[in-house]
Amino acid sequence: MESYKEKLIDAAGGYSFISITNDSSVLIEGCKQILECSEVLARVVTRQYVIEIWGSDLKLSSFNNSSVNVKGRISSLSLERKRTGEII
Amino acid sequence: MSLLGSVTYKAESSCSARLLRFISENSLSVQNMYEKNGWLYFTVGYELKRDIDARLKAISAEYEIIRETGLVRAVKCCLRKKGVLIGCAVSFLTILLLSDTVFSFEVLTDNSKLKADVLAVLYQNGVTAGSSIKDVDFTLIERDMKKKLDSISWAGISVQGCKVTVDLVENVDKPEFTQKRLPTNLIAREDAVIDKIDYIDGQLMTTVGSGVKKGDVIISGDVLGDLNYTRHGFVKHFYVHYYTRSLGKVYGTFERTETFFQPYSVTEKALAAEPVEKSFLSLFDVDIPLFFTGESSSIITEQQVTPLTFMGVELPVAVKSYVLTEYNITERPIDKLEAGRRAEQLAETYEHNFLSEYEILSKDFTSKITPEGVYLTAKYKLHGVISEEVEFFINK
Repeated sequence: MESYKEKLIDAAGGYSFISITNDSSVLIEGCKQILECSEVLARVVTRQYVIEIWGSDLKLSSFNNSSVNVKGRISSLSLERKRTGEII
Repeated sequence: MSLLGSVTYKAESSCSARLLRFISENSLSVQNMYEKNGWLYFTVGYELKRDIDARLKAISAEYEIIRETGLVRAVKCCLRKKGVLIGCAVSFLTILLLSDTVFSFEVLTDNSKLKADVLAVLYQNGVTAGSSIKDVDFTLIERDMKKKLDSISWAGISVQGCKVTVDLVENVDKPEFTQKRLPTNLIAREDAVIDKIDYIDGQLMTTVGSGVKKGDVIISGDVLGDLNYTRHGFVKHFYVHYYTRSLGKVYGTFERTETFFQPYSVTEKALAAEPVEKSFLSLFDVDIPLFFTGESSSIITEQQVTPLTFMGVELPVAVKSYVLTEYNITERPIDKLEAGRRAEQLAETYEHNFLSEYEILSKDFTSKITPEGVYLTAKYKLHGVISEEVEFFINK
């Protein structure tokens, strides 16, 4: 059962949503910053995580609603929780 | 990305971190962003170009625009090629002006006389090649056409582009048997002796061998018939009065006398000079002469029009060629012998034109020579149809 804190964070839009479509597209909503977007690695920072997407021929598109779409041949996606107070 | 188009940048990747931060912080919409061979490629909408340029300059990044798409690029291309732009503008204006102009006419009929009459009515109403379509009320012209042209029962005018099409429904003559539905008589149209009667319907008023005067009723449509029949040994007899259309042909022999006069001079048309061909540039309805000499009092014998066409559409510009032939009208005196021969030719022409439906049984020519000319009196004995159908009305 969700705690009240999680519900509050969700209601305030504090969570990020990640949608993976096959191995060709990843949509990350609630993106705070784009760190890197090379052909093989895209790194995106959300409120809680640093998301690393590995693959080939990656192309990143950002939208003005803080969403990021990564397209290409995606091989792996990893989440690394940000440490409290870490500034990237 | 947007209607205005998009711009694709190629920026050095050493400054990519700062640029990515700028994009993230400002939530800019960026497409197809990737790093390759030390360069960062990305595409933004044209409306963000100024911001991106300013930012790239601010961070002293080396960059170049590698691709532009959309409306802005098209406009820039057009501005660079001013000839194309001017051509488009001229074409647009030309089409705008000429789309309201009548170029050609099409009259949907095979009757050349009717076609000429229709064009004349259009001309009278101010519809000529080059006139403005908007200024013309075609409904009024349709009404005028129906009023002025007796040979049509309906006219419809439609405008297709620059062509005025006139659709017509011509009057179809009713067959003869439906034209005469009233009771009719067959009367004599000559003073004649009846030789033969082909009788179909009606009351015969005379007999073969009888003489009739012009206008006499030969077969009457007012019939008084009698019927009788026998029943139980009794003969019933009664009269029937009815009206009918008299049908038949009455052949007769009659005489006709005609006098022909030939004076001692004839009018002749002699060729004064060789035919001359003169050309005119026909622009709409105006014929501009393509020669510098004044027009002589010549007779136009032949006309040739060579219209210019563009993409199958006939333009109102053409070169008209007229062949002009000049004649001298002269009076030539003739002797009595030639006058007599010419009088006989007149009689022959008369026979050909007016007596072709009759059989000429005999003819007798009498010449009379006077100081003015030769009088030839021809007396014909003719055989043929002498009856004529005339309607009569029943008194109420």
